[in-house]
Amino acid sequence: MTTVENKEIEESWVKQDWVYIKTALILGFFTAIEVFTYFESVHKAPEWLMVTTLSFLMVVKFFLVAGVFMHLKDDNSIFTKMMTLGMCIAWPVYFIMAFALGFLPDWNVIIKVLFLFLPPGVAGFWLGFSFKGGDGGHH
Amino acid sequence: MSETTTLGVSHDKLGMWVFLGSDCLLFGALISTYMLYKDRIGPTDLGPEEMFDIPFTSVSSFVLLMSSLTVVLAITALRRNDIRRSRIWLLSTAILGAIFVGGQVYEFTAFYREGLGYTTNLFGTAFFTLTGFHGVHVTVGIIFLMSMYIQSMRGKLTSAQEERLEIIGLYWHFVDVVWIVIFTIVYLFPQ
Repeated sequence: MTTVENKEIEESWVKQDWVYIKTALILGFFTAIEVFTYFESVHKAPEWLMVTTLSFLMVVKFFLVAGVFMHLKDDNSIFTKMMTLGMCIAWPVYFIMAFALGFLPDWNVIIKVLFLFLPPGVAGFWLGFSFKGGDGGHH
Repeated sequence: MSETTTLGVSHDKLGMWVFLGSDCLLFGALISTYMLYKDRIGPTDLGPEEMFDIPFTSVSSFVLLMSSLTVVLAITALRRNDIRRSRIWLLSTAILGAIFVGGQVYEFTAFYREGLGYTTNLFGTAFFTLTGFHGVHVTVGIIFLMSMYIQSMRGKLTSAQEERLEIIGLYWHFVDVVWIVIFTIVYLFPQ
């Protein structure tokens, strides 16, 4: 291998490490926002706003770890299919159970419906992408 | 000898993903149970709002999040055959995991001293079962990481073991992902 090729490989490694470091920083930043919502001043915000904001941050963090750190973004699409199919099935089951047992707070119906369909929708969207994706680099 | 595969993916890795999928359902059930029982406390019992120490748990969560970074750096270092760096990142991950588990033990002890035991009320039972199960997962992950670290100390860790470390990494990231959900739903959602 030539020196130029070696240098290129080394640069691509550094670039890859930076992607992981940036992802970790973003995750840390989102966690800081989550914790900030616990301060009294923000705590006076309506419950539906708090729950929606925290849920959004939770979903983004979930997808960042699964996509970047667990390599689902670049890996063989069969792993993504397995993960998202399980999530698509599990979420409505748990949500309907929560509905049926009446333990959900009295939020607006629209928010409840959003909670029921948004996560499987996002997961399904992701699954759709993974069908198009190749077999990835990590075998 | 290289294994033959019809799906074009490693069977070990596929096995880990199947396990993670089933673990998703397990934690989903435990989180649902907690949600159902979190208000089932006696009139004189302390509730989640009085018990939880959010700043402390936030630091623990941050530590666990950063351990996901260190494990992924250990994998990439091993891929480059940089054993020394991989070993350092492996040990860092195990230490961060141990700090998280230590924090959980401290939290459990503090709750017990304040009067919340495993059988005090349904909230306590659901909370300790959920977070305890997660703590056990982290502990198992630390054992996996330490076994790889010991292997590296014996000079047996080479880039040929990259996939094994990647599978352990998947398990570790999953534990992190589960904590992301638990931290938000159990600790941060308005009680």
